[in-house]
Amino acid sequence: MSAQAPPPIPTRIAPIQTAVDILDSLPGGSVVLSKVEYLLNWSRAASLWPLTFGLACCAIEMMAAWAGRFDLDRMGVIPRATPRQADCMIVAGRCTIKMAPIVRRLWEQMPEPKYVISMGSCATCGGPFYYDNYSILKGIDQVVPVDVYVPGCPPRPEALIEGLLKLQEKIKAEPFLRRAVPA
Amino acid sequence: MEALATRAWEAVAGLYAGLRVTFRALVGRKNTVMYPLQKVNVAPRWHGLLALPVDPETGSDKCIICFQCERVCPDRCIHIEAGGKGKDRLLTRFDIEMDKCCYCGLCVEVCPTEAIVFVPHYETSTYNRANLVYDLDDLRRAAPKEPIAHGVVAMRGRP
Amino acid sequence: MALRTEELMLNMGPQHPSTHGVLRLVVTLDGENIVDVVPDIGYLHSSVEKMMEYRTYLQNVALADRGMDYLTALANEEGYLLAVERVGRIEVPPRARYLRTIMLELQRLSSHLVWLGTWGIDLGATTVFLYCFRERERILDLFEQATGGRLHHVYFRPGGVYEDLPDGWTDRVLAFCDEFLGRVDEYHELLTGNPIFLARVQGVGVLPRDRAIAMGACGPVARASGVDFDVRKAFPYEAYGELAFDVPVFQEGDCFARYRVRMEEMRQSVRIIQQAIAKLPDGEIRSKVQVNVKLPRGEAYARTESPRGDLGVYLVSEGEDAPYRVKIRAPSFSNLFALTEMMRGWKVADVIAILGSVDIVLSDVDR
Repeated sequence: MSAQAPPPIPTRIAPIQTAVDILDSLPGGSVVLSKVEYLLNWSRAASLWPLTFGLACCAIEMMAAWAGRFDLDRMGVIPRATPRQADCMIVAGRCTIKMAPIVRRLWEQMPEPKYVISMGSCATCGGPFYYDNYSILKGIDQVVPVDVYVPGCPPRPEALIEGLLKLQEKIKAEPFLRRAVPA
Repeated sequence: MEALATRAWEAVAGLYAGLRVTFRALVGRKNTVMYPLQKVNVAPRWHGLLALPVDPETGSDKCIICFQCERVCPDRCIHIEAGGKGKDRLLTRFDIEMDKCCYCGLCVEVCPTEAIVFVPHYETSTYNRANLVYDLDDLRRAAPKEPIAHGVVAMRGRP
Repeated sequence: MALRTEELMLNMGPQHPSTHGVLRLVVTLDGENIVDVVPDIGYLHSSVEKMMEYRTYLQNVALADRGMDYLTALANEEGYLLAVERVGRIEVPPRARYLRTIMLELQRLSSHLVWLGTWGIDLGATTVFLYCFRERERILDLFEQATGGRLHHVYFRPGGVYEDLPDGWTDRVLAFCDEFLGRVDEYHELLTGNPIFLARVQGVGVLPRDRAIAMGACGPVARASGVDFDVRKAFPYEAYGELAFDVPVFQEGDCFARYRVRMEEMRQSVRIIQQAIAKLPDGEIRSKVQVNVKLPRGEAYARTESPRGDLGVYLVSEGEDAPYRVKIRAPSFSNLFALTEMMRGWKVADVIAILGSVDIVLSDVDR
């Protein structure tokens, strides 16, 4: 949005990273490390707290997913209204160009590591508002990186739950502690 | 003093009335569907994924390449191309961009041969948006095995 | 020496859990008292009116579902198609008129349930939300069996409806109606007798009758201020002229009156559905209308009573297969601007209670 890009945020805390590097170099250390990593990833995936970014129709189905019938709380997914407490952001509904900077700002306010779920056709690519339209953003992946796309207009609450399960799979497979090896 | 007692009594009575309802719900029928383990029976008319069923008699597509669905689609998410002439006319491309699709069912309504149908399937989330462009093979694979008549308009008593 | 105070400007939204969408309220505060409220809209403007000019009359039905008020998809279709049918002089068969009436009233129930549930959350009564959505899921199941959609059912067509009902659907609706009346009593038990709820809504956000008329408030908001007007009674469309129902009107004009109007409307909707199913005639459900229908030159204005109020669609046709101009008179839009009148002078904690009681949908405001 702005011309000046913000400085890159250090995503890893240096002392922890040093400890991890030392542990990784020890004999048998990587086995311990992978167990620790598994535990951390398991706990992160089992308590995803999403920021409910309800914009339009999909927000109603998102609310229905937390109501009695589908009850997302039983999977540890508890809705948050503030980005500071959230792990992932569910963008539900069409996003206008007027709203796009706000989506971006709330995404920037979320603490790392953070994920984005794009719910519905409109958030994914503009959907029914793709052609002949001057006001709708053609997909929120133009402003924030999206991890899981849930298509549907609007998706059933089950489809949203399936998207969250897909995100949990992704989190569980992440090398969370080990530094990415430069290619 | 008397006013305070009245208000206290009102508060207790209101609390009791509310809690009576919640306790009734507590012992009543369970409402929650344990989604990944249990699934809701989706209605046969549900606008789920689109699919191209294969004609069981001839083993080929039912599509007669009339381009009606492509024209009626409000989101212009269907792309059809055909090659050959006369009787050898064949579908070479039938793409549906499922990310743009608004599941309105107008394509199913206008299709004269029921070549394009809804299937009651909804679990389609993906990590990459490119996966949401369904080509001919994907759509044939999505079609149900048993023949269904979804495109029939105004048939009394259809489930 | 008097303490010098300054007014404080407070931004609520656009991302706020209780603004029911993406509304920004610029609230000017003097201490805790509200001096002025300016709603900033346009965060969900989707240019539907312009898009409708580039789509055929049939395609616009799918667009009217989404682009306008998304909680009441069928009421939008009805408003739009009524205008189309008036321009094109298209007859709707009697069975289709009754089917439309049943669907519209079911839609009103589901919309009011979402309102009650979310308002309950705003006021701290989370239980009501769970109960309302439990009943709403039953209605959505009924919709899914008949129309194929949960929220967006592209079900009405120019000159009728798309499909006939599945077997046994009317029995399921009647069974639901009987159960639902008991559920409305439950909501009353949960909320109406609760002193905390009453303290937050009774006498709060009063909109007097003359101001309601001056600000163009419509629907339940106007009826709670003593304006006895319902489009279903005043200009009957579909089958409403042949069915008996009452229009609840309250004189107080506060949040509690708006709540009671909607609760009573739910009972009346059930009554309409029961009557319409009893009277449901046999016969055609759709008159012969081409897919790419070209309407004759002309214009029409259609008024309908959507769950939020008076929904008007003005449609101009130039003889093409797409409308020349569509103007939507959205009920939420005019109700939103009565908000300033209601909120002025109240405390900042009442903003959410008053905003929730008006029941706006931002997609309807911005279109």
